[in-house]
Amino acid sequence: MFPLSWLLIAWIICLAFYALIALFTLSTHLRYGVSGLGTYLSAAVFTVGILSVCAMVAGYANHVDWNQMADFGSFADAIFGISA
Amino acid sequence: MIDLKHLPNPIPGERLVFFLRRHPITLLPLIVSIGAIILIPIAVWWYIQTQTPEILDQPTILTIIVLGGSGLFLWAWLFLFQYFLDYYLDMWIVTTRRVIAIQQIGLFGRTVSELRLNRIQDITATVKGIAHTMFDFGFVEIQTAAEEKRFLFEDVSNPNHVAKIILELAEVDRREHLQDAVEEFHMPERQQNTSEH
Repeated sequence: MFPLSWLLIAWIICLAFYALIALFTLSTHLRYGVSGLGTYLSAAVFTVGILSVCAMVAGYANHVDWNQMADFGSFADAIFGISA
Repeated sequence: MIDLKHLPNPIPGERLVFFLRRHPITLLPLIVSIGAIILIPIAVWWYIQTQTPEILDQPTILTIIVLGGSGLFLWAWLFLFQYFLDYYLDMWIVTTRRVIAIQQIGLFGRTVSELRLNRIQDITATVKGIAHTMFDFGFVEIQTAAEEKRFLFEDVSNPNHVAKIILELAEVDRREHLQDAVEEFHMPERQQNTSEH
């Protein structure tokens, strides 16, 4: 058992790494794409997709008690029917 | 960004004739994948809610589902956008003077090739396969005097028409170059007639 907040911290670290790659991808797209609506629209769709998911997760995270302990025993029991 | 009205290294009197990308049908795997990454989480969520709703009562499990699911979706979204970039940043530009081929190779590779029309010797258009024939897209290969084929238009729409137009443009460009050479070296008329025969 470990604090649930560890999951959130791990998720944020992965997100930071992800943001670097996404920014680089976006800059490549804007740098080498043809100037026009298609380039801006596709970049906007990509960005909005990412921001929407982050906003949803942030909205959910506001309602979670991150101080509670993560119990993987009951998780395994619930999913696989394995008793701890 | 590439501005089609102001191409790099412009040639005087140059006009844009074609701006080509691969046929949009080649994006079908991408569209199916996007549909899958949107529908699969919804289906899984519906299954859990209807078949094993007691799982959602446990905050640990719900948190893992939300964080894990969002992480998977974000990485899949990034991967699909990179697949789209591979399509979107590959382009072939045909003007009245040259052909420019731009190929994006992953995120860290890019090849830009340029070929003057008067150097084209042979063009081959290939349409092969059921999907290619139904949607009329295929390959256009341009052969120059060099041993290696330098230019290949992949999965472009209406390849026979593209090949025909490029051949015509190459012929016009060669004639204009010949006239320029004649004017430059002030060849007398008698010599001109001999060379034409």
